[in-house]
Amino acid sequence: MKLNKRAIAGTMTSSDVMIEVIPWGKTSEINIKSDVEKQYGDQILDLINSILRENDVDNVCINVVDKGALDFTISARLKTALFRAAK
Amino acid sequence: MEKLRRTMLYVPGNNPAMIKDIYIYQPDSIMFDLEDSISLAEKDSARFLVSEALTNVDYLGIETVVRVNGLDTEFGLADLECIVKAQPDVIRLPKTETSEDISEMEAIIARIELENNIPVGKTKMFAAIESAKGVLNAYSIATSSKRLVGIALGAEDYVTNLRTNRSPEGIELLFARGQILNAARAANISAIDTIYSDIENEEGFRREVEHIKQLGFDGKSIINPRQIDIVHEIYAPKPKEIEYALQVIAAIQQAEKENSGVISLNGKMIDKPIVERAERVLQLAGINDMEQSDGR
Repeated sequence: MKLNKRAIAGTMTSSDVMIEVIPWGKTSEINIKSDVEKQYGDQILDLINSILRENDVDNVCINVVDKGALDFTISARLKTALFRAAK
Repeated sequence: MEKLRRTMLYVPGNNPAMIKDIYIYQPDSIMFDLEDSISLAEKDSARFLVSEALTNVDYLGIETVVRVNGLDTEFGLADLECIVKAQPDVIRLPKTETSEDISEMEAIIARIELENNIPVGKTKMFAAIESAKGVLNAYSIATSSKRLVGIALGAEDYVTNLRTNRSPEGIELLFARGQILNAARAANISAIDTIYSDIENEEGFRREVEHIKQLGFDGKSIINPRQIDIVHEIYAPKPKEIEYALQVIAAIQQAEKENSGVISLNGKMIDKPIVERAERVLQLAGINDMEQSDGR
C-alpha cells in the first residue's frame, strides 16, 4: 500500500483511539501514548506492526493516542487512517 | 419457526464504546448502523469499525444486523465489499422501494460471498420500507428473495413522504403498518415496526408497543437499551397463556401417541391455528427452543 498523504482516524473519547499516519522518508517510527501503556504498550505495538506488515506499509510514522481502546478498535482506526492516507 | 425479533437495537457504527458493550443489554438483534447516524466524513471509519467488531467481538449468539447505505449512494457498494466478508447474520437495506432494489443488492452479496469462500446464500437480508412507493410494493419486496428474513417500517421518512408527521396515536401509520404486516405474513417473514424516538416518554412508548403487538408485529426497531425491557415485558405471555399453551402442546403429543386424528382439550377441539398460537406463546416465553428449525 502506497501512502500519499498524512491522515488521521479515531477520536479522543473513552474506548477509542486516535491514530495519525504520516508518510515518512525513513525507517518507520511508532509513538504510543496510552493510559494503559505499561500493561498493554507491547501488545498495541505488536498489533500495529502486524497490520503494517499485512498491508505492506513501510517508511511511515504512526502516532497513537489510546483512550482504552480494545484491539478491534485499534485495528479499525489504523486501517481507516491507512485507507485515507493512500487516497 | 421464525427467530424471535422483539427488539432490534440500533448502534451507531462509529461508536467503539457502544459497539463493544452492546450485547450486555441482550436485545434480540443488534443493528450496527452505517447509514443515517454516520456523518459523510466518517462513513469509511464506521465501515472498518463494524467490520473489525464483527470479526473479533463475541456477540454471544445475538443476531447481528448491519444497516448499509443504499446502492444509489457512493457508499453502498463499499459498505457491502467490506461488511459481507465480516459475516454479519443480516444486511439491512434502507429505503427499499421495489423488488429490484433487493435483487440488485442480492447479486452483489452473492458475488462477494463467492469471492470469499462464504456459502452463497448465508448472508440474510432485511428490507426497511420508508416511502409510499415502498409501502405499495411491500408484498413484491417481501417475496423478492429467499435471503429476506424480514421487512421493517421506517416511519420518519415515510410520514415526510406522506406530507404529514407522527402523532401519538399513529393514525397516519395505520395503512403502512397494515400493508407491511400483511406482506410479511403472506411471505412468512418477520415484520418489525419503526422506532419511537422520544426516549423520555416511557408511557407513550409503552402505548405504541402494545399497539403494534396487538396488530401482530414481531417487534420493534429501538434506539436505546432502556427500551429493551419494556418491549420484552409487553411481549411476554401471561402465566395463564403459558399454562394453556403447555396444555395444548401436551394434548397434541398425547393425541399423536394414541394415533388420534381429533384433538381436544377440556372438551374443545384443538385445530392448527390454536397450535400455532400456543407455539408462539411458548417461544415468546422462552420455553420453546425445540423448533428453531430454519432460523428465519
